[in-house]
Amino acid sequence: MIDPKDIEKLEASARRIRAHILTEINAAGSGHPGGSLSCVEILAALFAHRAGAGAGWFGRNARDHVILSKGHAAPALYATFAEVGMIPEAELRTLRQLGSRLQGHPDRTRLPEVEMSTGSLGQGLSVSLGIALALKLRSEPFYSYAILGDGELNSGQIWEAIAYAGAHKVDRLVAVLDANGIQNDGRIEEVLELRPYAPKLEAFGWAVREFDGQSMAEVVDAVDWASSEAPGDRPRFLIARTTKGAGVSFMADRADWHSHTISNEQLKAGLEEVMG
Amino acid sequence: MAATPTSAPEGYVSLRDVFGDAIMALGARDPRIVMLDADLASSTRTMKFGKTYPDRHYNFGIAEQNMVGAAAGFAIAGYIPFVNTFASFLTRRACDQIAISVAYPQLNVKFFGFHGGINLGEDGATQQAVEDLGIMQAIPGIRCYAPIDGNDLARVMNEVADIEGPTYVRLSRFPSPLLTPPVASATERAAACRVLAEGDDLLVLTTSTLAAKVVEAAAALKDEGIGIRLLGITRLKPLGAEIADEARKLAGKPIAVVEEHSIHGGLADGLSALLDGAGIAHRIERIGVPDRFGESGHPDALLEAFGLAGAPLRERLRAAARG
Repeated sequence: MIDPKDIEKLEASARRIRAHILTEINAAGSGHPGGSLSCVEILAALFAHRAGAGAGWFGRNARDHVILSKGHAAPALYATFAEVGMIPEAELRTLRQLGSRLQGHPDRTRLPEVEMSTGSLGQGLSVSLGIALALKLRSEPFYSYAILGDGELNSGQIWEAIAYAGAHKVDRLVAVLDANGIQNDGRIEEVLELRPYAPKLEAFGWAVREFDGQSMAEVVDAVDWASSEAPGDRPRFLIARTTKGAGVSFMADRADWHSHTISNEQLKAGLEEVMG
Repeated sequence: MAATPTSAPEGYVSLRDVFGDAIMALGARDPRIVMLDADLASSTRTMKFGKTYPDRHYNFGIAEQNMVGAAAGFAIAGYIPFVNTFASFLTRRACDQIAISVAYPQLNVKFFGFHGGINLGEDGATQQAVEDLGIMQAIPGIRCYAPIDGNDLARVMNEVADIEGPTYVRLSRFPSPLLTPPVASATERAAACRVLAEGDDLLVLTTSTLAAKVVEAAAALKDEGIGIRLLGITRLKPLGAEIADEARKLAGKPIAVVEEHSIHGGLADGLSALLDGAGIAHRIERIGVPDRFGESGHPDALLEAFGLAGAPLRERLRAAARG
């Protein structure tokens, strides 16, 4: 079990990441606050805890690989990079501006710290699958993580990847679902209800764990479980039950905050909430 | 069973057999090369590679989008994935994955589109690809090749394996005549443009294994007193600048492009853009597939029905020469 003091440190990181997200989107004048805020604990657990990311980490050959398949949460990814020291904090203010490395959706050719360019939803899990197969081919002790949105599960390609990984026991692959229950046009059940997820995934041969995705302790515990021998030779699927817009009361669980500007007043109120 | 060729006539070579041999040599040379298939490994001639290197051959089933995405992952991890399936399924079904998971992030993935064009024959429009080169050329950053014979493909295989970045190679199904000399070395690359017939009445460009039909037509027209300068084009993107020089040499003479592809998005469009950019006034007779899908039929009968071979092609070239 992880030391409670380490959880507190990660929680402090998550607060700063949330503050960065609000500041970035306010400065950019557009972006996706809701789905960025819901995956903060996942990103903090993967980068700051599991991968031990920091300056110089990405340049190593031998390391974990993390793909943000839900590319519209790019502000959360950049905020996490700044929090762990992979990019300068000041660069966050360039989000979405002409010539910026921080594109509206992640672009690995401009910002090499981005594992994979994403934004056309449903594509990231297959790429993480390819990396996981490569890790197995080289017998490397690392994992390939894909952070998915629940809207992405509408996509057929995701299920192609789920089928292949299950059938071929690709145990270096970890999918982390940011299950905030809301997609662009509304609630999951109003667009395409695919829950319950666990029985479907288990039927495809995955090891599944479901937990509170806003509880840092639970997220860290699930990531540690997935990154161990415990689930056996199956690919791992972590269903993180999250809240869209988590941490900011007036954004929380509201579809209209999927893509939204943040005014100066909203920024001030939001920062007060997330930094407490 | 229709009367499609089952064994190659003397001097004919199947591109996919050349491909099968080339991947064995490349695979032995470079352990980073992995083969990816989508339930068509028997057609793509990767079975031998799979038997020799079982841990470097992956069959994704009929799931082309997942295959292309996984290829991107292999490339990120330092491997060189060769992605193999029919040109039709690859370029039409996985277009967004090719664009966003491979071309946009500039990953080192090698695409091979089998059974390009309509010469696949009897299976009909669903398995034929008349727009594959248009799709692949429109996506930024992908080098595109349509080898004109088996020897040409051997050079293309050297080239794509040697180049960092995404490439697309279109192959044809049936054995075709050898028009170019054997590959000289394991490092020899494809020529940007190869003269297949001499003449100065009409400049004709062609690509892919259809070149053999155009060579036949040019020889027949020569006997009628119509001289065709015929260029075989292997690399469609980027198109070699020396092709503009060829057009300058025959300035004022008619130009025709013969391609087993839609008249939109293929060699004719590429040539037009090249000549526009070079400031060379031109009018191109587009001898290709008009705005329509393919259909079933014996390959030779189909090519003639589409005006791409035999007497119909000769007539279209005569008309082009008249200007």
